[in-house]
Amino acid sequence: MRNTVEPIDLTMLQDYEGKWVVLSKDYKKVLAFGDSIAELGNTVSKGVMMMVPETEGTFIPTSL
Amino acid sequence: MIVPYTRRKLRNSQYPIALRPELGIELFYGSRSVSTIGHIDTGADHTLINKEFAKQLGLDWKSGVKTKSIGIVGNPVDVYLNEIELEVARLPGSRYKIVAGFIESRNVAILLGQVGFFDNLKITFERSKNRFEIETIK
Repeated sequence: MRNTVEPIDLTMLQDYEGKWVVLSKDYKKVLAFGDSIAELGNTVSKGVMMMVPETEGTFIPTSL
Repeated sequence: MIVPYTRRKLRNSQYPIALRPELGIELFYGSRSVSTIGHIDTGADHTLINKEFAKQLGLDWKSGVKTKSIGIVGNPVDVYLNEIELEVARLPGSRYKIVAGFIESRNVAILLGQVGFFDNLKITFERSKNRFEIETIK
């Protein structure tokens, strides 16, 4: 039996464009955000850290 | 393990919603780790990780082997290759040592590419069903 993981809905991250965020382990809440990981403090160890790229266009890594 | 594509909202009238092949992963270096989400990129020659993750892992990212990567615009950027470990969340037996390229970028968080990801796992895309399957290689 193949395991299927829950879908991840990241649509709420549009409000955090260009920021670093920490999501809850179930990916449903933003626990912290900032312009750098230094601003996230120790919440990083409690959740899922990620960067929110700009959302103006579709994503192709045109400029690394 | 079957993974549905993630949903992202865009400020783009042609593509207001993007469905992306992303999944939860964990990065390890020494005794430190960080949970995050990686973007699977079949076109990336190797796995790229934003340098901010190195800070969180306590890794001196510039101590790695320096090389270059080129995006489709063609501007080469410095990349530093470092060995870390990567595990796919909720996929037992998927923790591997990898060599990843660490970069400074405002657009790339984590790209899971051919070296460091596809060489360790079997991934089957089913975009028509908005999902992909990921398996360990026995």
